[in-house]
Amino acid sequence: MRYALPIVLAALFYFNGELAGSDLRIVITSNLKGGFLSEVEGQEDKDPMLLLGQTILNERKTGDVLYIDLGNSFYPGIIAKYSFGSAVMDFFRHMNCAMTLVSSADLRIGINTLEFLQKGNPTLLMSGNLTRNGSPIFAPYTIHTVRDKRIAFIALSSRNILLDIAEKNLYQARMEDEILTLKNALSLLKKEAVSHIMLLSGLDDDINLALLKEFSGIGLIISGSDNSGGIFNKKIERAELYDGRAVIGASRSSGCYILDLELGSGIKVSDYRYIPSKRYRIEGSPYRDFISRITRWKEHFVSEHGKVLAVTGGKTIVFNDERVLNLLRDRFNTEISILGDNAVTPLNLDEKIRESDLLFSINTNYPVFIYRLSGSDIMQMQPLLKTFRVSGVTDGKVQNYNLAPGRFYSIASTQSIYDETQYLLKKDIPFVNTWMNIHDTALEDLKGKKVLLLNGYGYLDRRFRATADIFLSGFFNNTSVEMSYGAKPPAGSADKSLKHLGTEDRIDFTVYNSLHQFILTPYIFYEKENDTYIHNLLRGTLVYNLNLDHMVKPYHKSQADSVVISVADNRRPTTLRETAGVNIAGTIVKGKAGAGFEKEVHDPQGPPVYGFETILNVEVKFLSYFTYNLNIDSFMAYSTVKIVLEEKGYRRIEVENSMTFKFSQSAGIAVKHKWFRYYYIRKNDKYTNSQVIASFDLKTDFKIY
Amino acid sequence: MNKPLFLIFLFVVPSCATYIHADGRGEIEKIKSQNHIIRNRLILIERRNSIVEEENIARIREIQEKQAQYENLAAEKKALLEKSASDMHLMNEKYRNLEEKSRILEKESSRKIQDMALLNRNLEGTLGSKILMLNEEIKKRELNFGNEMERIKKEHARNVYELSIKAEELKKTISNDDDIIHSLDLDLSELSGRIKKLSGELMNKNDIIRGLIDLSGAGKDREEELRRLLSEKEKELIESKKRKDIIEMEKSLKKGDK
Repeated sequence: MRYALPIVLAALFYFNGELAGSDLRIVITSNLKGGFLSEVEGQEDKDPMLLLGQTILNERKTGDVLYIDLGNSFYPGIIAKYSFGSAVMDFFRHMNCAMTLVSSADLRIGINTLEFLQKGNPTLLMSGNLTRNGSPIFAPYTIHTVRDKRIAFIALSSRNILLDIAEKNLYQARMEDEILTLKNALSLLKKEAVSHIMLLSGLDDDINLALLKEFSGIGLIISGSDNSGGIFNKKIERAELYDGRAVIGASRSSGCYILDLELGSGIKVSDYRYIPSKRYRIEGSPYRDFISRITRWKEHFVSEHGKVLAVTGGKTIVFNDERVLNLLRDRFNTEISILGDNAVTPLNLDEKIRESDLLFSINTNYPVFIYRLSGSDIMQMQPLLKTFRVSGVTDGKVQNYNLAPGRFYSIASTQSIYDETQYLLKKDIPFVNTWMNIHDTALEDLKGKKVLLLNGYGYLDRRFRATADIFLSGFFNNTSVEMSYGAKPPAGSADKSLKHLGTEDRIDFTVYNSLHQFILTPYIFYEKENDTYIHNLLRGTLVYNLNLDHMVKPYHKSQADSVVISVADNRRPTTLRETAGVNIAGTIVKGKAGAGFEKEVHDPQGPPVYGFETILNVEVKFLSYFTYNLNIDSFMAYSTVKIVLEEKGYRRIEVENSMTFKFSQSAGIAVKHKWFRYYYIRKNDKYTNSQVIASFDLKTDFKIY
Repeated sequence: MNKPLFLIFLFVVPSCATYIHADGRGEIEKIKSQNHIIRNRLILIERRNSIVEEENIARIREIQEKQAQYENLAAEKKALLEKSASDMHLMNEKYRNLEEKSRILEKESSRKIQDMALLNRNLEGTLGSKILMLNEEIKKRELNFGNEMERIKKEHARNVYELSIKAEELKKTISNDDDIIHSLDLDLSELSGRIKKLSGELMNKNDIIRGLIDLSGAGKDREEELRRLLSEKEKELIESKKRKDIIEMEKSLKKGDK
């Protein structure tokens, strides 16, 4: 009878449903980055992953322990990359890791690869919000039984994922909203009769706290991997709400965290501490099997990637992002190349270069894209470009020429840079996928041309590129001619006033590099009314500019004026002008000033007449769609030849004012006023040609790389 | 050339210009994407396969070694079992022989034990009678010794009395020291001779007693008693010697006084 009371009390206590606090010990790792060393010798004393494994196994000796990894473990260590994450999966299997949260770095090895690794492996890859066609790709949650208590673990990955282009094309994977994902998971878990729910999260701390407040069913949040910041810019390792529920942070990666929990009505954190990795002597088959496995991975890696690709010839080469950038420009023949800030870890290469060196140094495996951006786009990207490594653009110039807002420039960059660019410019940018990443490109180069080993890359700017700018204009012409008695109209000019339709077309073929620029311009100005040729000008111009300075450049110009259709008596009068001088280029105003001669070379032939040439171009864009142009071309001749006296000295000046309204990139409507004056000094004879032209303009350009 | 057509050509061709453009989402790109993924998968599988192959080969080699080890051990076990069986057979033979011998020895032993027991009983009887005899002898000698000791004591007491009288006389008659001394010397020498005699008798008696004790073997108590008596005699002897010394000292004093 005396034992009855204690028995009754114990029964009441039991059937109240609240057991006395039962313990759960969790070992947590995060951001392992697949950091195996490639050396086998002394690996059990030096390899950080093996030291971590020994620490975890040592901790298991204390009793029943649950091991959870918070993600970013499969990439970018060289052995991890080589094995496509298999080595890390082997680590998890042998260390009895129950689950790992799929995070941004893990996805670098690919969803396809992760799915493959999951098969037959007890370690569960988890993510509730990474979906494909609306369904989670990996396990959104799992249930673990501890002393007859069922504990659910829900997984939420970080939003910062970037899939490889191949998987993007095929999988249409996306990140779902975390709140929606949690609601779905919690509603499913209601049917599972779980006693506690924990959340594994790669989200930032402010989001974690907000989730904890919103969802009272979550007893604990364990956060790490992509969690980039804490509260008030301070990383937190533990934060609790007023009701005792906590957010635990695992930010350090060179060891593990031990989390002790009491599982009563809620989850109480009784202890949380960090243990750095340490050397422990571990015996037993699972550990030795793992050592054997990882040794094989390393040996295979060294065997496959330890071969010598090239030799430096006795000099020390620093393999860095600058060399890679130049390699991209060379290999893909682009004007500009862009890499992320940490794409390449600098590495000193002495004598022999092995493939393992490349794997060690290159931190990105996204493919290289080639695309074009306009000068204005590149200028808009300046704040972003400052965070990247860029080659080909120096002080706003490409190949020593100022960035032209309307001209397109070829760019080579990795997929991640392209995505950021597209996001910034908010437009769809067509691209070509080379299907080669930096490693493939470098490997191909070291086996072939060895551009990476060159001492200088000035030749990239000295490469010749060609552009073709086509200007087409159809116009309505109202010509008013004033001519003093006896004056002859110059070759190709009208001799009476008229109104009619015509075309003015020009193509600028430009071949240039950083120092030299050749511009060949065929030009046609053709107007015909019935059988009368009003304007019949066929002009060819060849200009050479020496690009010594961005403002002042010497030039030489050869210009030949003739007729499209032969004139009366089958004549084709042709005038040649040769000038040389200085090219002055500004943002809005450009001009040439030179000296040379003009000579009638055909129908009739005449003596050379020496003089000065002045050319002025002004272009002002305003209100997005309007452009004002002013072009002045004058030649002041001072002939000293006495053979043909009446041709001694003249002034020729052409002035064109135009206002263009562009309603698309290549089409617009222009109103032009052309004024041409020819003045014979000796006879005081004048010829003036004034035209007001309304035209429909087409402008397009090609770039030949 | 047809000029209008030429003009149209000049207009139309450039307007058809397009940028370098590739649609990343086209079918060809999808096929290339699949190719890329499959190629990576192939590389992964090849590498994993080679690792697993090596492990397999190592495991097969291990199994073969263990198999060979097992066969060796099985052969050893068989040999050991055979040897053990033959050893057991031999051991059984030996055991049977020993058993036989043991039975024979037992018989002989029991016969001998009986003989020895009889002999022992005879010896006990003989020794017992001898012990009785010796005990009687000891008693007799003890009695004689006691009488002798009594006599010696009496004589000694008498002599002491006489000596004391003489000493008194000596005290009284200092002038006759030489005679007294001489008489004392005589007394002393007599005493010494008696002491020696007594000592010799004691030693003889001790020897007899020890011999008796050795013969009887069970006379330890008697020995102790005799020893006690001997020690008493020795004490008396020592006292006699002391008295002798005292007397000699007195004698020397008297000589000195003289």
